[in-house]
Amino acid sequence: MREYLGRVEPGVLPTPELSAALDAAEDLEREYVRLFVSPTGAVCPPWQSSGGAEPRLMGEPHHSALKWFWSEGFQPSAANEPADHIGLLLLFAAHLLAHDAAQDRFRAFADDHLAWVPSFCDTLAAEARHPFYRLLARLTQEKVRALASLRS
Amino acid sequence: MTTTAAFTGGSALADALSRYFEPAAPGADTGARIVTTACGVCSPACGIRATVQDGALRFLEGLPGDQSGAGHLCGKGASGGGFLYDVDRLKYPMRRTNPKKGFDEDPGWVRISWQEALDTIANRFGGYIKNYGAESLLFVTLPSPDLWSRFMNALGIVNRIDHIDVCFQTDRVIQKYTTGGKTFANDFENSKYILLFGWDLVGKAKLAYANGVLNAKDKGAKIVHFSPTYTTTSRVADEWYPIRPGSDLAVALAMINVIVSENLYHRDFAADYTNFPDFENQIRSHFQQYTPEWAAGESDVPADAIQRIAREFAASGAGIVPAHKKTLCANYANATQLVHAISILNILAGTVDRPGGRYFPRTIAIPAVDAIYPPPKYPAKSGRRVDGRDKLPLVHEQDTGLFSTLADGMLNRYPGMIRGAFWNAYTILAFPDPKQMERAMKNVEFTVVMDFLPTDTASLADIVLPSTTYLEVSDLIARDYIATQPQVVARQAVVPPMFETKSIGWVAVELGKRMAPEFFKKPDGAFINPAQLLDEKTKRAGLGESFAEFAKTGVYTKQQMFQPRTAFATPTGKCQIYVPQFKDKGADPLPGWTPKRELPSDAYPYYYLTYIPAIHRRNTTQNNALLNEIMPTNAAVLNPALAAKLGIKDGQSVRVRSRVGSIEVPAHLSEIIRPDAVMVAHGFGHRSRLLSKSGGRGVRDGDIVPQSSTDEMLKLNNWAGSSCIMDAVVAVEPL
Repeated sequence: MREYLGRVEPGVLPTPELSAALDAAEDLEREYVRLFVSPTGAVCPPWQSSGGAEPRLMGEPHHSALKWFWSEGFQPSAANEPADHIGLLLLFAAHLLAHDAAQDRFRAFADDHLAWVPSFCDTLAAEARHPFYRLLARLTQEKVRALASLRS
Repeated sequence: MTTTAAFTGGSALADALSRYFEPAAPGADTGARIVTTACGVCSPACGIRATVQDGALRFLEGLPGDQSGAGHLCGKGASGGGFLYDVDRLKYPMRRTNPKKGFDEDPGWVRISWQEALDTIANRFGGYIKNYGAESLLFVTLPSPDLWSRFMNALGIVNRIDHIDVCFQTDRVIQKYTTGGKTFANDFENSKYILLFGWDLVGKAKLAYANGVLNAKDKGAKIVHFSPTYTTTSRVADEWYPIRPGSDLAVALAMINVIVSENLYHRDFAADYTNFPDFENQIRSHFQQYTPEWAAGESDVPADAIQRIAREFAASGAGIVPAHKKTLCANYANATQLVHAISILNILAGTVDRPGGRYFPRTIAIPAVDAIYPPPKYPAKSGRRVDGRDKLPLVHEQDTGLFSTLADGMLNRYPGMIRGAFWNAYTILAFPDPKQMERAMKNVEFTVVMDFLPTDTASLADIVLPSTTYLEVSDLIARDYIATQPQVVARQAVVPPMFETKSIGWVAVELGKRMAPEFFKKPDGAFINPAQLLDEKTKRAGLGESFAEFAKTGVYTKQQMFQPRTAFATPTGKCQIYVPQFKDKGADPLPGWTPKRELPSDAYPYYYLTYIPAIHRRNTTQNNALLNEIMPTNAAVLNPALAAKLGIKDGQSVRVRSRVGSIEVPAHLSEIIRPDAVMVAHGFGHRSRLLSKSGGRGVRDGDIVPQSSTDEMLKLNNWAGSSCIMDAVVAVEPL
């Protein structure tokens, strides 16, 4: 965790509070489950289909994301889980950025599949009790916003 | 398969990509395909035509030509996607880290592997059995599938409890001796006179039967509906009577009296296939006291109507009185007598296993696991029954139930005896007075709950196991709702199990490997494999070389003539009106009048009614987004006359109060209900905060229904164990 933060965001050094929090792995795990996995699933379900007026799994964003992945020759390894998981979408966006000089494909993908992320991060920042997740929300939101300005 | 080389862009990115992606399979974008399967929302298992695309279910519709659904699905079946893709679904095994249990507590779930979950369960349960005996474990579950039964048998579990007493248990208890039947199908298509006590048959949207009744009506059948509320069925019926709640028994007894004393019963059937000739004197003299005039006083159904309907029913030659599940069999303490009276009416009509009547389903025998892989001798089931069912001998021999006495048993009869519990897909809403069950659950040291949703019971668990839905599993379904000819259909998985969900059959084998391995080995020494078992069943039932092969057509109907039974599976081989075996076991050989448990008083002047709306199934569908949109919550339905008397306006919050509790709920004024009754829909008031759509919405109808004890049942002559799930009287106050 610390190493990852150091690499990704050199300016961010884990504060003592964050350090202690990272040490309590079970707390982190419990918070992960509370936010993303099941309880109240509705707190911060990490799939694009679960947001919006009619939350569900495997909505249109799942199908659209799959088509994007196929267009690059991949598919998610977990075949029985939704393709529109925020982690998969961000990872795929990174892949497009790394390969697409003109960034056209990245822009199109971002329109379809990243526009919801800042709002998700707002919810995550508001709901998260663990500092790691609050930081994660802030970093993600900043990055995605920065990329949005790239597009225009 | 997955190589880092396939993903480029720097090693960190490539690393991450290769962990979550793999090269796309050739022909990945395959477009839509159709999968046929059988619905799992309720027992008729209507045929489904599912459209699947990109690994996801896109649409559900009825299967053309299907015997059960006739090409349609009801609202619940059509909304199957709302179960499969419910955001709140349980996805991974979890254990709690906060030891305090309660609906206002955050359990502090952490995700665990299936391995850890199963090892922990095996360990804890094994310890309880070793130190306290098998009686210390409680399994709240149906006995199906057969692998799960095998697991419970292998451990010698005595405390296995299912909900059948809230359903059709009294019918089973009675029919074993009156007609020898276990389950019944109803030949509405050929009925000429359909007599319905309470059951909102058409409104419930059980397609197989709703279609049958409507078709019968088209052919000129007469339908009579006795119901304290005016429902869809009442609208379809030729006559509707707003009968006094709990008095159906009086009408049934008077009808028997008319039919017997006027010699209107089916003479040949009575002479050849019943014990009427052997007990004619007792029968005639017993029912004489139940005159239509007396029954009118008890039921508010006019005496001349009772008399006329009895005559018409008998004269029709094809009269049927169906006894469907909770409505007839579990509402009140006198359901025991009512079910016996209903059975007698069908026997007198001569329509038992005859056209137009209740008949024994013709099914194909699908061998169970014990027939395919014979187990070693099971240990004896020794220990005390926490629910006291052993006090009701005729119920005890059925080996089903009792929900209605379970909490009392855990709290008062044998407190502390139950140390470990496994709940398979039941919520506490299913019990009378659920707050007692909540208390009882908190006293159990170690509870496992397996379900597909984070229900109330899951909220109180120590370990939660995520279950598949019917859309993710395969099985053979022997039809028994319309079954004049044996028919088997294939239920096949529309999509693979999502996340880490598993079926209870798989769990049975995995726990069996750990706790009773000798009971889960095949003759070759390898462990039983559920998929292979399904293939074996398919083969041995003569349906094909493998399940996959059978699933290609997905249906097999054995063309055979319906041969009405001439011998019945009762102790005498005949239908029994007077049942000597009941007398031998301390019960009544003929049904006599007894009132429902609770009658109106000054303190509680109104009858309490509950119902299950057509758009929902029991207490399991309220969180389905599609169904929730149609009916998200419940209300107290009151007649405007009663509301005016009490100063209650439509939509106003009211308190409905009984001797065991109270609920606060908005009033909904409607002319459909008697002015001396209050009605609340079952299935709402889920407390689990984990249910985003149904959690905290509506009230629990059961909160004001007293639970039972077997001692009380015996005192009330309720020896067939009706759960009295609706037997309450209430006061109503505006808030």
